[in-house]
Amino acid sequence: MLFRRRPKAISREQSLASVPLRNEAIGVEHSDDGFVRLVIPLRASWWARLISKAFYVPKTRKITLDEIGSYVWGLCDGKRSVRSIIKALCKRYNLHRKEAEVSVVAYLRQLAKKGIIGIAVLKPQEKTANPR
Amino acid sequence: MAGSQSWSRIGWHGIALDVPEDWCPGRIEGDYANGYLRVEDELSVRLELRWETARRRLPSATQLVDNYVKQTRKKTRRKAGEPEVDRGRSVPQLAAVDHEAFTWRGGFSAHSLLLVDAPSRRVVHLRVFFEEGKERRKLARHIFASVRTSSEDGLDQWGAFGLLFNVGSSWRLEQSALRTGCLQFVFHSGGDELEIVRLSLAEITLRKAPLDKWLESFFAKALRSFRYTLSEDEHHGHPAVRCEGIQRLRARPLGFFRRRRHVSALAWHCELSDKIFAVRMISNRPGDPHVDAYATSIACH
Repeated sequence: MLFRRRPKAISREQSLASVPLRNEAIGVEHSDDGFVRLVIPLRASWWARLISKAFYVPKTRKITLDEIGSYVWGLCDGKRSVRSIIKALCKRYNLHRKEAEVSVVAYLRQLAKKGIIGIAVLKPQEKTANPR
Repeated sequence: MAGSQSWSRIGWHGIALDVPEDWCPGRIEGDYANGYLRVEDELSVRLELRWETARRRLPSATQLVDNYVKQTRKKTRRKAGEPEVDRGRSVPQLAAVDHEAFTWRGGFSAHSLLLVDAPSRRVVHLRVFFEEGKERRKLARHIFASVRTSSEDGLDQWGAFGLLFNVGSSWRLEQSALRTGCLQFVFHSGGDELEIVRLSLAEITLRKAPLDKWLESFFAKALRSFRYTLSEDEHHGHPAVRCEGIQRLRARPLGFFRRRRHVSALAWHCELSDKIFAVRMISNRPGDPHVDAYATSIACH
């Protein structure tokens, strides 16, 4: 921990140009009301394996996203940048740009922290090659 | 260019100005006396607004610009070459206020306006930034011409992120927040409290609960110590809910010596913008007329 290198801070432009990518290991289902349900496989630790011999331990965890969460999940296709997701959300739900930015960034950060998505940050020289 | 531009108005602590629609506040600090507001477009900082209350004698705008140019020249000379400063400009729309507009060109260009507002004893410094070769004078001129530092009819204009409203100049901002889909302002004046809220994604919110239930749950903490009634109403042609109430007796320690407080609130759903707007006030007056006056000043669509 002491010698762990801190990740370099990225600029605002880089963070908006970054591309969210879905974790391939996560399964996707649709709930009855059309919302996205994520099926997350649980890592079985030795004590979980031991307990599972006597009790039922689920192998997956399911998270149902709400309407906006499902819509943003649909946009995380590995091609769209954070900026274009914000724009799409503004257009669909009649939101102010900053309002949408606050929500989308917080939501994607939460998904990334849980390992549900990854964020591909482009190097500054790659920026021009990335279509918005 | 500035003619075809669409604008939005930003108002903060009695200072109001127009900015292009895609510019919005990125950082806000301070209070009425001293503060800072930064406005950004999608990529970078576009405008900076600083205000400061003069402690002693109110200096003139020319003196302040002299001082500013001298100080900034000293700093920049070490880093880069001699910057080009174009001074002595005035803005016809601000003729009644002591001011000076000037342009600073170095690695970028900064169009500045420094004005001294005598009634509030505040010095306001506004800077609009452009990258080298991308200068838009008309745009800067429009922003400068739109600056207002004094209240009209005792009302201050407040505005950010597309929400614009007027409140009495005696109200001081206590708290403001932009959370997911919710923009909230809380003001205090004496012992009175005013809260103005704009909630986006109204259709989704109202699918879970009707407007009256939303009002009760959103203001649950504030309404806890009041006995209130809700009634259906109409505002700006939209369905609205009105709340009137009086403080519960048990919520008042030493109740015999203090007046009972009143709560008034109005919430309406604008279908056109898909937003819920709400104004809530706690004061000593039953059915405070200010609630309606402030709610009327909000242009919801």
